[in-house]
Amino acid sequence: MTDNLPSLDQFEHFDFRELPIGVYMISLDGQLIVCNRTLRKMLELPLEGPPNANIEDYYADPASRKMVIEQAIKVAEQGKHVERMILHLKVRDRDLYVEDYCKIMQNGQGHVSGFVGCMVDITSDFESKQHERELQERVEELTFDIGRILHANTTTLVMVIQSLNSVIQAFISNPFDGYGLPSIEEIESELTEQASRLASAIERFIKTGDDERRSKALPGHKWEMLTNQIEALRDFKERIPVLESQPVALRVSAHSIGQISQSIVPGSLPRESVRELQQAAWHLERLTTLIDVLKTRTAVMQMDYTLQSLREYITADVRETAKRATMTVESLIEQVVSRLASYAQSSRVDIKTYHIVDAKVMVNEREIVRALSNLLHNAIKYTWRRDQTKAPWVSIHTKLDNQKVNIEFENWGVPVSKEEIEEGLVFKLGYRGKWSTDRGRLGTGIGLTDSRRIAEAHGGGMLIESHPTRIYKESHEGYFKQPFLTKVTLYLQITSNS
Amino acid sequence: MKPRVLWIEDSARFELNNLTGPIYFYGNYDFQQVEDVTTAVNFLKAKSFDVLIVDIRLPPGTDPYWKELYQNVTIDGSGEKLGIKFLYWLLSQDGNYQQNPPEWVTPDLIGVFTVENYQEIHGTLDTLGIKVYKHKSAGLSDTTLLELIEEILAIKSGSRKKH
Repeated sequence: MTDNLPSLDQFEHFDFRELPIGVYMISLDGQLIVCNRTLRKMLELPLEGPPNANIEDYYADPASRKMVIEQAIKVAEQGKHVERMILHLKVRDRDLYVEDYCKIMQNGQGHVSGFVGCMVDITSDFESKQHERELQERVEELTFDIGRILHANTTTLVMVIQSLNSVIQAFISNPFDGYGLPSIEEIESELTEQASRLASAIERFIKTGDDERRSKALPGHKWEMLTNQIEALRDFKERIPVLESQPVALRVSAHSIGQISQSIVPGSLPRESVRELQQAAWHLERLTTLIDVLKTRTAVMQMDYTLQSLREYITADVRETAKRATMTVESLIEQVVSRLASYAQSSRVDIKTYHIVDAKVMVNEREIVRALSNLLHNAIKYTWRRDQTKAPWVSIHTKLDNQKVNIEFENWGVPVSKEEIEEGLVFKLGYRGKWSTDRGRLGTGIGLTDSRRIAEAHGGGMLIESHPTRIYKESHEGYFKQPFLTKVTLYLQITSNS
Repeated sequence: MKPRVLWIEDSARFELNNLTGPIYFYGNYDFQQVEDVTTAVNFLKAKSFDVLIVDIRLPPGTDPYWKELYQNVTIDGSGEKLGIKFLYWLLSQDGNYQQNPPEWVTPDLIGVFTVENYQEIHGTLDTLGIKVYKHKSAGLSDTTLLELIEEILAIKSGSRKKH
């Protein structure tokens, strides 16, 4: 075994020129007196013979060599040597970064006569670190910019909501009572009533007066247009398969009838008949516009939260981290419910909070409130109406489980498939649930990722379950069209409970 | 017989559903909509249409040929403009797809309705001979699609209306 060890003799006769790092001796004025092959290769000098080069000529900034020498002398006065000093050199316009280790050499009178040391080429490491630093700065800059833009956008959305509120108020008699999105049944009932009223008004109108007065009042093609719309107004539900498209279609029709009524030659037909037609067209146009405004308001409310949450997520890393504080689970849930109350009201979804356990958790309040809000927002957004007599609802439950508290959000509506849960797709950044876009729901696919990250950073985690509520088997084509009961649980370690 | 119209648009059911209401309401057209290229090809093979309205950013559907093209165009930085490849195939200027385009398709029955600016795609439209283009932007009227159909039919019948 000992035969395989290097001998002391080998060390004593080792030629430093063979070292895999650059070794040198330099005079005070920078002249290279001697250097090994590695350094010659680094500086692109002839591999044999006298170096005939001055290190100062290789400095990217030759003036900086003076500072380097002063620093080396200062370090030497403290009885130390220069270690790991980064020098920026240039070899034929190519940047060369070296880590320098050197010792001062003195003459007989104690004056500095030169330096002996070694250099290690760290160019690629140095450049990649520099690139990393630049990227990091760029990311921080972008994060700040995105945060600012999103802030400006959320401000605009607030303005939009206020304007929409004013528009809704301007509809003096709102059949839907309030700002919330009416149910499909309510919309259908109102549309049917007003469309039928307009159809009847047209029917009566086209019988008004004699042929001569009618032809004086309107050209033939306009009478034809009016007549053609009677049937369409009565059959609109059968004609228009997409529920969401019905109000728009009726608005276009009502508007065109309104325009025709405005073009009636004054005095040609009884004023009451003309007014009845105008009023009926105006009522239908007004109703369909109100439906659109209410829908838009709900969409803006949803987008408002999504943007705020996105901004919080993006700027989380550049914000000063708040200290964790002990909070009761109840106070956290109160904050979350209050934060989403307007959105729930606008979506006409009730939030039902069941027994809240008496427990405390040590958390970053802002982060945990955001994590829980994301879950409640999703629950509201993906809820369907399950009872004709009641508004749709979402439930919040809490449970103690050893040293953990489970905070559960449950809704009845849009399915989450088994595959999406088992493969963890729902937690993937930017992933939007396979069935989440039904009825045009918008989103960013960040909420669940963000919530889980926050929960895990607090030593907790998240669980998702989603089960079909009806009897269709997985192979049935209606499987994913049936409502699913989805429960999303965020759990945290508790600090105490009574 | 009512003119047959096919709208190839992945946002037709949701974001742009307000545009279809007036078409169904007035009932002047036999109107159908599909959301991806594979389904569009199947429809076009099954029957002929008088008007085709095509989006440029279209998903491929299940056919591996379109899926691969979709992935490639995305990687090469040209975005998800599969509609352009589809139009080239439809007008017989791309012979790579194993299925032949329907013979009844001509440029004058096609309208492009897209978020792409005209400057970005007018070269393609000129090459293919497609004359009707409509930019999808905020503030579209509820009757945009209806007017687009009417414009294509007017051009086909030789009495082009002003846009």
